[in-house]
Amino acid sequence: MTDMEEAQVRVDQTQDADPIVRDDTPAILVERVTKRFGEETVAVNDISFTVGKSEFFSLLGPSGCGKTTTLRMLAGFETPTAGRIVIDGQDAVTLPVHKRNTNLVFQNYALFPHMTIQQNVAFGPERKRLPRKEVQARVAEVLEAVRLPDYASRYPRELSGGQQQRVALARALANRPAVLLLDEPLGALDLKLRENMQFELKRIQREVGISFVYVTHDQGEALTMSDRIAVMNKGKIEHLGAPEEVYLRPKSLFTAGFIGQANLLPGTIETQESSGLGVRLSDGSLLRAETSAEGCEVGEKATLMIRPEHLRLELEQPGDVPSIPVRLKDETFQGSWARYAAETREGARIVLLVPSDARPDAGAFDREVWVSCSAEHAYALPGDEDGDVVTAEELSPSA
Amino acid sequence: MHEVLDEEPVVRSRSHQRGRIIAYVTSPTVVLLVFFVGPMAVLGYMSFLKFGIAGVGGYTGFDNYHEVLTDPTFWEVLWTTFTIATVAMIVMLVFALPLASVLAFKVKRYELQLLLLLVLADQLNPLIRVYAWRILLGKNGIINTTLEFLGLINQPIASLLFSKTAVVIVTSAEYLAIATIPIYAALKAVDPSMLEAANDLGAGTFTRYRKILVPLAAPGIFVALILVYIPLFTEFLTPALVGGTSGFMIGNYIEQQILKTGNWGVGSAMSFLLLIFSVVFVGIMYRLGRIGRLQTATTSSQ
Repeated sequence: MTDMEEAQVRVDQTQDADPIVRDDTPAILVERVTKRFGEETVAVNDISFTVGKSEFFSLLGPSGCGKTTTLRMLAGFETPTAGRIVIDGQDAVTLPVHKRNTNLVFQNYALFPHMTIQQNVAFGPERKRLPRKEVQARVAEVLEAVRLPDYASRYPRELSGGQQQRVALARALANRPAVLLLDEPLGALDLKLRENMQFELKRIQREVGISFVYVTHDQGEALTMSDRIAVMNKGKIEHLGAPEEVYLRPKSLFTAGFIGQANLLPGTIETQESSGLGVRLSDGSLLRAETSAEGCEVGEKATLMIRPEHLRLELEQPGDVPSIPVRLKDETFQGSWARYAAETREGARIVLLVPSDARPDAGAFDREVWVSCSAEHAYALPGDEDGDVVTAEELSPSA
Repeated sequence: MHEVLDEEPVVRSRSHQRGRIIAYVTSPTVVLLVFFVGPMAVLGYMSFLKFGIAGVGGYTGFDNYHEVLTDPTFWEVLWTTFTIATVAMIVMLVFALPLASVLAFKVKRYELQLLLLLVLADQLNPLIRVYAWRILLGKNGIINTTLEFLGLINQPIASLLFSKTAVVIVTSAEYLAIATIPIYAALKAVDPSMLEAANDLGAGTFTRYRKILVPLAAPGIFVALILVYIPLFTEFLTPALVGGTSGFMIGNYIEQQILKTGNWGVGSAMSFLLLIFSVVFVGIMYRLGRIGRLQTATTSSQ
């Protein structure tokens, strides 16, 4: 009875992964993993990362960046072309899906329509040949955790989208995996429900104390929930770090553009002092940046990243801080803030947010005004993108 | 596009429209009457006539039916037919389910081509197909010689051909396409991530079939059962060619009564009894099928 043996092995592994015991071995180790489809398509290109025990880890990127392929390799649905994957201390490259100590929450939930919620959630524990009482106890426990204890006898079709999503989560958790994998689980929910579920997910993750690997293209979701974020683009990890770091000090132009809204202004580095860099923008104005990413050298091309909320609108050219002359093009009232689209003398677009009570009168639209930014809020990155200003909303409209 | 086509007849006159409706309804009715109900009525009429060596001997009431129902050979042959049809059906499902699931989930790129090949194989002349099987199953056929060559057997297995086994093998292969297609259609409505989820939760291949695929394919399986079981019951060409004496089925018995003995009355009575059994069977299957559909009604309503 190989099935019995398998079941026993899985039970043993689950007990080893007691969330209270903390040690330094990571829950997941991914080492130089590459995945090719056919000859020419490289979905994942030589990536490495580790996920700590009880860490909330996000893979964030636009569609086609390789994040889902990475997750499917962790789940075992895809085999890496090269590299090493260790899950919970077990070499997992060739380990079959049903023997892994991971469980996946599917984007479309993939609940079994012919089974009740009880049967759906019990499916995993039953495969492990746990005693009936143990199975019942686990089902009750996880349904309690996702706050659906009274729905056990219903069928999936009788539940709302949000409830189905909780059942999918409960079903994956009932197996007590070492790592829970989530493939854009909130993608099909409406905005309000999505925000609620973000807090719910974080709460459940803290309660069960296991690692979550969360795939999303929504940077807001990733920033809200993650302990660490791996920003992916074209099969590579662009930046791996805590949400604050990824947001405030991105390592690459891609990350700067993808995470949050940002004005990316191309220029050349003129001065480099201990207090910061002086960057000559392409329209001739000189701005100062206190912080910068690695690789910024005097004389080299660079891009300044400035968040819309950090730009100040000045009706007269300020004498004390560097500024850029612009013309206002468009105003959007957003409640406590007003959002302005402006154009530099070169025609590059700049987006800025102004507190509602500091909005200029209509006359400001007919003449040249200035935007300024203090050096502490400007951040310099090496290189530029074809000399063109890329604004965040072109990359991530959801912001 | 649709709206334009739908609106066109409204412009036309009502009488024209009525004429068209009558034509639509009557033409298939006429075809059914001439080619289906007509011969059936003739057969029904003959089942009440006496046929002897001297020729047709007039109306005999239910004598023919009485004769058939009290004939032990009829029941024996009916039982053989039932076992052959049932075993062939099971064998067929064992092959059709994996075949349908591979077609629906695995092949992806060549799915349509393979499906067309399956239909094409089904269109092959049955006579040619049965003779091909005779070459495979014969005493000096390909299977026996291969097994002998491999040293697995010392002398040819004689029972491969002209036996119940032969009829089961040939008929189950014969209807494989017809059994596979409805199951394939049912599985096509199943989200493949359902199988991945089962796998992810710890189910191996067999459990995935038992717990997910078979229940979700149930509507297709019921259609396959109805489509295949009845022609299997009335099969007479295959048992005649590969069945020998032990693979003698009810279709052969009817054929014998009518063409060899010349007893059209008894043969017709047998045909009608078989028809009644079939109707009862379909009725049972239909009830079971409704249960199956209720269970899986949500397959596509995610």
